[in-house]
Amino acid sequence: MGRNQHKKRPRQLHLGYAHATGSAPDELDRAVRLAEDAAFDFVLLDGRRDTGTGLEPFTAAAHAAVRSTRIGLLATGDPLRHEPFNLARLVASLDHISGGRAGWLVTEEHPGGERAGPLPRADAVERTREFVGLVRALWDSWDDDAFVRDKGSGAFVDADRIRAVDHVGAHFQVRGPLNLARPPQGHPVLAHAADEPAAAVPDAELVLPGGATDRGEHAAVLPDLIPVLGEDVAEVRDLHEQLHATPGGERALASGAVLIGDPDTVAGRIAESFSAGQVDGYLLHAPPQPGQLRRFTELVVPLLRRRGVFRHDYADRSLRSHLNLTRPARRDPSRRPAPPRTGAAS
Amino acid sequence: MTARRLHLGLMFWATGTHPAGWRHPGARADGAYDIGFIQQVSRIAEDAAFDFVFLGDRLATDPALARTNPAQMSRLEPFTAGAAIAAATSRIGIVVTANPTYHDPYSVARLTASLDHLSRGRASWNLVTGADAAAAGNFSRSEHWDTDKRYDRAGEFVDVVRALWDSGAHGAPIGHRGAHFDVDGPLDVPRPPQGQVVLLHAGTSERSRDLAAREADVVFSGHHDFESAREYYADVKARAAAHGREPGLPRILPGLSVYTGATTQDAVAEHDLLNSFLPLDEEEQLAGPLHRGGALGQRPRRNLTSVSRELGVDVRGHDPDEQVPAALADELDEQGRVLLDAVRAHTHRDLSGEHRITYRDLVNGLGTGAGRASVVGDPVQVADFVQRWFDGGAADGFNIFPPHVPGSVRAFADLVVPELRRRGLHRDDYAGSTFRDHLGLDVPPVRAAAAGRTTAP
Repeated sequence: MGRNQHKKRPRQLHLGYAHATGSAPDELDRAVRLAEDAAFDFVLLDGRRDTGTGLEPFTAAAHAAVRSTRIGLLATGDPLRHEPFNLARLVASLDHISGGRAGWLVTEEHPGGERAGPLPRADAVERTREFVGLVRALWDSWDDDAFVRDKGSGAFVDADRIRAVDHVGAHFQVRGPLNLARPPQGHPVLAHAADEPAAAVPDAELVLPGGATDRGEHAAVLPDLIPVLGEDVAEVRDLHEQLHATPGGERALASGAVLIGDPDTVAGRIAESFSAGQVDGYLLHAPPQPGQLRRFTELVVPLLRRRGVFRHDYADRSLRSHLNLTRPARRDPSRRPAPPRTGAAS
Repeated sequence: MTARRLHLGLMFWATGTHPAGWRHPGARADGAYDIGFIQQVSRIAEDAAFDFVFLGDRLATDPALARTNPAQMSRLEPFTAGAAIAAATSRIGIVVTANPTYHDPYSVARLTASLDHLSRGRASWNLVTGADAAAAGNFSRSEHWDTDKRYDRAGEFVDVVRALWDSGAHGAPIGHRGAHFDVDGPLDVPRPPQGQVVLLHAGTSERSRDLAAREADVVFSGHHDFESAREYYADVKARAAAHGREPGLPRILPGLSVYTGATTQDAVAEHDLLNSFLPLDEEEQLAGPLHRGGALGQRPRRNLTSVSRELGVDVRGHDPDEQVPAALADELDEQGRVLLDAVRAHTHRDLSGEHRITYRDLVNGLGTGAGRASVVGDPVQVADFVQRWFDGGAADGFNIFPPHVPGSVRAFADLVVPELRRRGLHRDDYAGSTFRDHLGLDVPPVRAAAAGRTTAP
């Protein structure tokens, strides 16, 4: 399926921020507020062991959702750990709570780590593909206008507008319907982790982090970026030395995502790679030095705006709208899904 | 030693707990998806110093639920809703339902611990095992598990979750190997601020009583009458003592529907108004004679056939709005009198005198003899009911069921809570900021990691 882009808007840079601090709700609030004030597309609540927040991503995202109004909230969800029915609810519920700002990064949160009981490994790609398709079908099990809620007549719901899913697949058998109204975005945004096989989420709308390889013709590709900003040459040099002096800094440098410089240099590099069509935007991560997200939003974002590549304010409220995606119509559940493709999707 | 105080919970269903609660003129019919509304209702309960707001759950849906409780048909997922409530409140406990039959322990440990951090120590997990057979069809199960299978899994599940919560403190694996789960750990969320998240359990079966006695901090029970509530209370407390639990644990909170107003007349009018929205069902065409009792496990149909079955007296054929003659009382046996007495209590009407019971009132009373407790009255009458159970060894408090939302929540907070405080039954303000504080429970020490967990008796 296509990306259903809004055709009229000019191509624009997409910026996400991966929140990866401790479990303190205050830190989360501050990061979300900073990113929203700068009109970022989304904050990523990351539940992966190595990069995680110390909070379960969907609860953290729901908490952040009611303390913000515009920014998208992307949460990691592991198809190997959750039941499709439960995860479909978490994502849909986040979409309702946030008023259409939810996204789900489909990823294994604890590769090779502990498992809650034996879970299939060998056929993980096919299983994830079935899982994701099933979640979409569950979101579509309610029509947008299923509710009547007429106090006078006593009709609460139009039962003809709620349909079972009756999914019988190789890995899951789910009758449905979901016990939740169709999400405000129709389908919350689906993101795919670039280090996992693309075939698992062939219809992802976002690839995180976008690497060198082409991951599907329709998805927005956002590589990692760790901006380290100094106000002048001397501070840039100091910051660089600091990075070499700490294990966290060495790890950041080794990732190849560090972009160090003064605001002009950093903004210039971002705008150039975007304009050259190499990337659709970036997923920002904080370096070990404190205060760098604030610096980026205060010093670099205005320069990107001046160059005309980044929005001054949100055009609308939904994450789909930030990403230039239209709202999908409800799929007819009676239509058979296309047979699964095998191998790489792109 | 401070005086024993009530524990009060708010059973939150956005459309109210009366089947037609959403049709009340002041009710929000679309509140289930408005998080601002859910937060607002939670704050009413918090301002009244309730112990907790309770988010129930069901894992299967059916449009037929629109006739009994529309919010049970469709609503927000409880953990995300709970996290959003946490962001808008600062004291009230947040009870979230999760079912071990259809979850894995790592996810539940993570969700509950995370909610405890986000709420700064106000999370509670309501453990249910799921009597709803339809849920199996949503979780790739070929059949609904029986009670023993569900409780076997739930027991081990709780052990694993408790070990995972503690593992956040030391970061060591838990190395659990059991009949149902192999979980290495540690949890990727730090130990919850409460140490162990408050555990709540609801259920009536033998296995349920035992799990409640062993593990629960709070038990949510459903008894319509004082005597059966007292029997349950004594039984669960005795079982808990046998497990070596601290005296007073678990706190036992029956559900209680409260219809109140400034006067008895107002309360009765409210009750009558909501019942007036419930249509009568067609009478059944019976081939043979009328038998006592209806189909097992089904709600009685709202008609005079059902009334006749429950009374043991054939009253079919009357106009529903006709007054019931006083002579009916003489024809009733003990079972029949349960229905009549419930209708008397809830309507404040009788078979004689100024305000008379009608056949429709009897229909509206159907099922009350088997369901949760219900009280209709002014604040003094409601407080009398509460105090009788609280002082009489039948309850440590109540899970309050508001027939319509937000009106019934506000009425309880504005009218009944002051009366309960006047009697010294309800706290004036919170003494602490965590749910464990409200329950008078300390943060438990971290239990020893890993070794012995799977071999302990």
